Amino acid sequence: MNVSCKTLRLRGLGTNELTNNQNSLPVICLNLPAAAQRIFDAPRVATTITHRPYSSAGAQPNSITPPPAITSPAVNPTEGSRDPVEAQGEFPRKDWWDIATGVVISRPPLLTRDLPEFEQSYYFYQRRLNDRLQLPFARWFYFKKGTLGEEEWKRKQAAEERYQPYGPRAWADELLKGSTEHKFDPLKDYEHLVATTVTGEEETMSIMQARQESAKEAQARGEEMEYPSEIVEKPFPRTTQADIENNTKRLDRKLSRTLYLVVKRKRDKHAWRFPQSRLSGKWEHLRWGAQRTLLEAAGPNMNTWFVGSAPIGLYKYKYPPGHAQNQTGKKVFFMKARILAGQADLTNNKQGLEDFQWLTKDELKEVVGNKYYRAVQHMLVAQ
Amino acid sequence: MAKKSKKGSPTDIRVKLIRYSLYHPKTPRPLRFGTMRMLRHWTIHRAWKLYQAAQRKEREYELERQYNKMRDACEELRLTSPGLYARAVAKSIFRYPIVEFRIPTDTPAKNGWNHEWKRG
Repeated sequence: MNVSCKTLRLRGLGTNELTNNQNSLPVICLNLPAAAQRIFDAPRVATTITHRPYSSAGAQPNSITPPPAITSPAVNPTEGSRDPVEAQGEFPRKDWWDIATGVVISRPPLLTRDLPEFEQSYYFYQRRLNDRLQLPFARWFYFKKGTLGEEEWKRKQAAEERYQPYGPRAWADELLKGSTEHKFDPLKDYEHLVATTVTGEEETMSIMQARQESAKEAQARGEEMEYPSEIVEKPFPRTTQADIENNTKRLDRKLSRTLYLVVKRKRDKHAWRFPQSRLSGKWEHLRWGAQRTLLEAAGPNMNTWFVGSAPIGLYKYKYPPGHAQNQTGKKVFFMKARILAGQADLTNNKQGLEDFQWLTKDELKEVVGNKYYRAVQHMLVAQ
Repeated sequence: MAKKSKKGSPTDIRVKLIRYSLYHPKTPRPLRFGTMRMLRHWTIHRAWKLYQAAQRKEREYELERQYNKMRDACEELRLTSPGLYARAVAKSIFRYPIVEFRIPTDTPAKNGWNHEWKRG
């Protein structure tokens, strides 16, 4: 809004004098904090229908286009336009739209993204080049000559059968066709670290031999052999139980992607939607409306954060002809929110919802209708 | 930290390591590639640059689409209801970082997602 506070105040006072009822303009001074703003907001005259005058808006009755007599009789035609610019007929509107808020609540990715094949092979190529270009590892710095630690290091390095950048086959640094070596990064891979770290456990040959024997026996029986003392705990796998079952209600599915909440209304068509509801009450603005919507739809047991108070997207649709409403259609403004902990709970929900799912953007495409998806897709993140 | 070493006493091992890496006769080591190997390297380099450019463009387009959607929604809101619009674009004084936000890691947390979180 490029209008200054002073002019707004003056305009407000100006239009007030024109109206019969004492409906004063809320003086909106953008420099004041939200709390202080409310002091200046004057209460409006109560109307017989509980919907706020500006909810059917743009459609503000102005002196040029009086409202049709059939629709919303409660709004006083002489109320005057809120914004004098509209009164001049710059945006003459004859439509009356319901305003609703929708909530796009997302669980951002918890893991780094899965690398595509090309990136994996490129990073492998770079690792090999790095090995060739660096000076060889200075073993004498870390292990004194002749110690047991050095022996263990040499043994473990030999057992690994790594690419030798300074050996006779240093030229064979490229990935061979059909090989899967590029799929894991040896510096990050837990098994590799365990296999090459010198721990000092194997102090005597007897212990080492005993362990080798038990490892062979375990392999013969088909069991896994675990190292007895794990100095670093083994990290958890990137795919969880929820991934295997493909349980779309769980929030630990697809940890490297963003998940969005969709709810199912009791309808045959257009059932799956983002939670939405019409704005209610006198003072409700979009962010409050969205918070209330989420509370009513999905329960209080979600730790959420609403990002800002501006809408991120819009879905506008006209009601089919013959619909028993005064308005031509509905405008749904979507608000962005993030979930930090908790789960959606549809018991006692006030919107008649049956089911919910946490889906990624491409999964959403199949579940939600084509028209809705086209209106909504650009707000969402693919990763 | 650097001690002046007297004659006969061994130098600090850290100094030794630094000298090893700086003054090694083979530092830096330019690799020598045959023709075909060089061509493969060049192809990989070109492919990577192309791939990175495409990724960057894709990211920018996504941001642009999100921004446009937001701008259009705010414009529609402004035309529909000045009151709602003003409250939507007003700056909030409450701007603190959220401690519960998590950055992406390579492997998941031990406790996983807390599905049992309750309010209050």
